Parts: sequence; structure tokens; C-alpha cells
Amino acid sequence: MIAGHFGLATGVKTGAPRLPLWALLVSTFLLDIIFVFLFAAGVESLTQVDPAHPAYGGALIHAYYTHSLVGALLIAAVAGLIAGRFWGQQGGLVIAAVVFSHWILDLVVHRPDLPILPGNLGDLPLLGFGLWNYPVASAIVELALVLGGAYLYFRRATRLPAPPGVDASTQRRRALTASAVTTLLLLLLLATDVLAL
Amino acid sequence: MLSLIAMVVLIVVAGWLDSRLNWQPAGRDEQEVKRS
Repeated sequence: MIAGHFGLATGVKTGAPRLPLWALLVSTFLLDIIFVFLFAAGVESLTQVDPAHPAYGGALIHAYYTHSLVGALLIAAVAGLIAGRFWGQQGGLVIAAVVFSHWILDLVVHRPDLPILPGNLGDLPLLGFGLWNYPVASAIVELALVLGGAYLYFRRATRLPAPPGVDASTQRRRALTASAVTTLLLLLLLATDVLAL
Repeated sequence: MLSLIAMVVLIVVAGWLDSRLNWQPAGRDEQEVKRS
């Protein structure tokens, strides 16, 4: 899941208007951003269920630090503390929740590959409800998250008042442009993921 | 690879377009309305 995470963050923006959208978008993907660095360092890895035919939802991650339950909670807490310095305690809490939402959504779609403790300490059972075993259903869930987030954003953005020095029609044009482009980019992201491009 | 590019474009472009909107005063107005 990629676009679904971003769709959720876009929807959260309407409930936390003081937080910049870029910060929410980065937060929702923070676990995977850190994963990229650990992947490059050889600490975490990614394999395909069917290596000959890489496809949407065909990934098995071996991300025993970034994608462990406790690891994700720790990363969310640290991100929330840092964000709180910029956007206040409430902003920090929202950022922490958005960071952790990544793990929750991954739990739904991943095959059992999410550990509970960092490094899979104790060799506890790996978690994952495996919606990716049903790619069509998974894509529909992602599409719902994208369209839901985009609709909430559109509805809220087009009702914002114009700032001083900006006339109402300019403000409305900006709101429509932001909503339309964001929706388009979310759908494009979903398409590239589903088509495994 | 395209997904990665699309992701970066989304964060940069959507973030920039969003920053041109008048979110913060709207938030303040709501706080004031709730207080009153």
C-alpha cells in the first residue's frame, strides 16, 4: 500500500488545518522512508512472493525494526515530539498518530511479516491480515482511502476564507487547483503501484 | 521507480499548492468560535 497511506494523510489535513500537508504526507510514509535507509544499509530487506512476476501486493518485507509494532510506536513518538516543537502539543499528537497509522494500514494488507518487537525479539508470531492476497479488494480499499481523503480535502479547502489581499475568486481557484492536482497525483500514485510500474 | 517519482512529486507539488491556501486563519477562527 502506498497511495492509501497518502489518501489518509490528505483526509487528516482537514481535521488538523494548521499542519502543513507536506508534513502529514511525509509522516504517513515515515516508516517506509526510514526503511529505505535501512534497506540501503542491508539491515532490512524486501522480497517478492513470486520473484519471477513482481506485482501489486506481492511484496514480503523483512523490516524487523521500522515495521515492528514497538519500533513503529517509538518512531511515531519521536516524530510527534519533534513535530510538537514546531506545531504545538496537539500538532505533535496528530503527527505521531499519522506516523503510526502506517503500521495499522500495513497490518491490514501485509501478509504476516510484521513483528511485534524490534529485531523480532523472542521470535513472536509475525502479524499481517494479508489483504494483499486479494489484490482487487486491496486496490479497492486503497481507492476508497484516496477518494475519501481527496473528497474531505476538496470540501474543506473550497470553504476556506480568502486571506487579506486575495479576492474570493482567486482563493477559490487556488482551492480548486490544490484539490484537483492533489487528487490527480494520488490517483497517479495508485495507478503506478497497482500496475507495478 | 515511477511510484517513487510520483510520491516525491505528490509531496512537493501538493504541499506547495496547499501552502498557498488560507488554512491557518481558518483554524484560528474556529478556535475563537469554539471559545465564544
